[in-house]
Amino acid sequence: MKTHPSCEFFIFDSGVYYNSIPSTSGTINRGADVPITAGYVSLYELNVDRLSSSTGRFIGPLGKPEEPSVAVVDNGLIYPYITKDGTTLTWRSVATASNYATDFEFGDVMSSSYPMSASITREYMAPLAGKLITGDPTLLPAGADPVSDSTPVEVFNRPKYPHYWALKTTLDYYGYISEHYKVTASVNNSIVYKDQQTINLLSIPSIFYGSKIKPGTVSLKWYYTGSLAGELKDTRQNGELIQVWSSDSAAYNDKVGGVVLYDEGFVLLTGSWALNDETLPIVKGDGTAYAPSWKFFGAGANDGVSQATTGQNFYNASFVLSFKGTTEVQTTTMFANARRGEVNFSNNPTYLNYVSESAAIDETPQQADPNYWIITSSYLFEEKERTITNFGSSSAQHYSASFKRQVYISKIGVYDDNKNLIGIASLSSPVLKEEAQDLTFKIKLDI
Amino acid sequence: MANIFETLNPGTDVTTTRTLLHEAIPLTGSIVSGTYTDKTTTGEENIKNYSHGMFQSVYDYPYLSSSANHIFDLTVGYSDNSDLSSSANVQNAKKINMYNELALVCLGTDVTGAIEQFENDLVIADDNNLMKEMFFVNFSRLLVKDSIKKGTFSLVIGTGSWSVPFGVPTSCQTITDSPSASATQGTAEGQTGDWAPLYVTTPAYQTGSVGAIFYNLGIVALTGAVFTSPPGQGNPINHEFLKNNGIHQGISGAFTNVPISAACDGFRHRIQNISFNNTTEINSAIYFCRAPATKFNYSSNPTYTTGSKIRVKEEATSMPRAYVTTVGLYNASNELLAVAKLSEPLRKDPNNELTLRVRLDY
Repeated sequence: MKTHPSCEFFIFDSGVYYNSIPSTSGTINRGADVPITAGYVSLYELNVDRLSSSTGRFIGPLGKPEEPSVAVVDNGLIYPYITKDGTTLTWRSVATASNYATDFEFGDVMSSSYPMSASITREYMAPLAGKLITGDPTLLPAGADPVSDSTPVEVFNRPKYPHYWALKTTLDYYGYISEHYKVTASVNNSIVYKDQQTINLLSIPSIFYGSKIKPGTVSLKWYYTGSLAGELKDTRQNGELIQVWSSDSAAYNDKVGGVVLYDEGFVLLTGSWALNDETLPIVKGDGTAYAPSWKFFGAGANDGVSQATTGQNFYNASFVLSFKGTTEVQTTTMFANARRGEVNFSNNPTYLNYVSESAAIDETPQQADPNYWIITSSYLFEEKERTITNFGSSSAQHYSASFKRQVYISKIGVYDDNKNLIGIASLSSPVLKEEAQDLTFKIKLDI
Repeated sequence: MANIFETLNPGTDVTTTRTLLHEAIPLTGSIVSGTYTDKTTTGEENIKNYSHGMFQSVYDYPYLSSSANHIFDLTVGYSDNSDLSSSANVQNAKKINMYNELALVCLGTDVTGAIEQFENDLVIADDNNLMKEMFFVNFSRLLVKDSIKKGTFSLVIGTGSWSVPFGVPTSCQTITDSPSASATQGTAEGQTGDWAPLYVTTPAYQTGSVGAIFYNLGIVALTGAVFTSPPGQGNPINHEFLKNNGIHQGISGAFTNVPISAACDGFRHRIQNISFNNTTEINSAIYFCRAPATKFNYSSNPTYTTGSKIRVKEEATSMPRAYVTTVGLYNASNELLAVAKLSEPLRKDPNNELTLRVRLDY
């Protein structure tokens, strides 16, 4: 079963808001967001409204005084830790920031922290996005051109924007879907080099979309002072983000402003045409005012761009990125058959009419009444024949209907081969099953 | 699709391992009581009481918020042969039912099918040293994960008066399962997992345990006698255990005169700190994927050759060379089951052998 959860990010004044969820201040941790900043999702749902503090306490055995590293400190927060052992399992940060082999002894506690969170991030890649540190836009330099002899040549041979370089193979792979994906594309009888363009990269963590972004649901809206300046949509469902509306740049409608990588969760925007005649400072560390365009979409989304790093009027810009994800729920479908002549008896105690458990040997007409209670000094136990309650509905008022063998099915039990009950499916309302009926119940079990 | 396979020898190339991942779980009293007081209605916003009245749920934030997490349930109960059991008690049947249900879940039944009762020793079959009046804390799986780590549980409670439960240092009692807390150490294997007695750390009061912790279930059972003075001894003498509808109740009254929810409120009011470490077991299968010297020196990547020449060779006379980027795990029918990616390509040529350690967590 596929589900398509909706995601919407509103970006304004260097803040990101996810599905219109506002910031909520804590009670204990006043002034801080609960559980994390709006626009993020909490991955572990822990440490809601808590303060880190020095309690002076330890959780569990303290260990030897001379080995404080084996103690688990109580800092008021829930946090994960691993004790170094033979499995060599560790945190990624420990492996990169410390020397796992020498900084820790066996038995030492290596801790991490909560909450861990995820949100979208934007990366603005200035013109010549494919250039290297050396400034060479196309090729790795064969010879060294270091600033100083002490600097390794490889440092200058690195890509300036490695995230784009990491996606180049993937972009070329999807070239069979649309030419606009290709790093070197032939569009409208001209060659377009992505390496030489300005690229606006939006990264979307998979926790927001699941297995892939649903094609045809991606929408990007550029607002200037609250008014919609333009909108991109993947109307062709092939990854091309096409301008479908603009307030002042209608001539560019139906033009491709970028592409979306559905499976990987990336949006690359290259459209550089002006959406209207206004200008605003929108590039970090650059006080120049630029016209709103798609290459500036999402400015302020965890990219360090803010009013302070750009200039006044930055907050004239706001953006909405929306899409639907795809999550797949594995479902087992079972068919439970209640065939005619079967499943026609109930174990419900009220299914049979009440009868006295004790009865005298000599029955009188009164004693034949199953509801007649007999008190005598002599008893003979004999299981009485009990009649099934007739709950058939009569079509005539004040007259009971003729007896029909029927039950109401309210639950279906699922058993394994050894007759162990492993699941119960309850019906929303009991279903009438008559003797001559065949019924089939379709049961779905989400895994 | 691979066209060369290296068969894994289950005896030498495959092994399993288990890693224990822990979390430190501190729960201060401010989380469970007093912080989210609802001043407009009765109660607290992070405490959920139910119409059935059999237990109360505690959250770490107002439970109507989607940010809130369920951290534990609280209830009280007593055995039907307790001296406190009486049909005149408030919620008498429910308190007996809660005791029996928790005893059944935690301890199971004896050979006759009768439900075992809590005892303050490790031998539950002898029906000695029964604990008949209990508070129960049932921690959520979010906190307990696979189990509570043995020897790390600590509960600090206030045994002073209602108004100042932690008023003087001697009012605060630390209850722990740490072996050093007790002369009678050890844990027992129950029908539903390991468990251990809980002891007050004050040596003078260690005449017996004051409860039990069930590690796998994440349940702590605490005798009401812990709120006597000294803990674990004598009859309940604390006359100000809780305050319900403006009336103080002693520890006995908490079991007899007030509903379960009110008794739970009184217990929460006396929690100063709870802490423990949890454990998550990560089971792994490790496959040692070996690339011998004479194998895997060629690539089926379409870009591997250009103009009928191997792209990564500078000289025609050089040895063949390949860069390993991915390891595929196949079943006996050569169906691809799993793929392991390397962080960076590894050079492979006839001069070297590679052993790639692939770990599969589950």
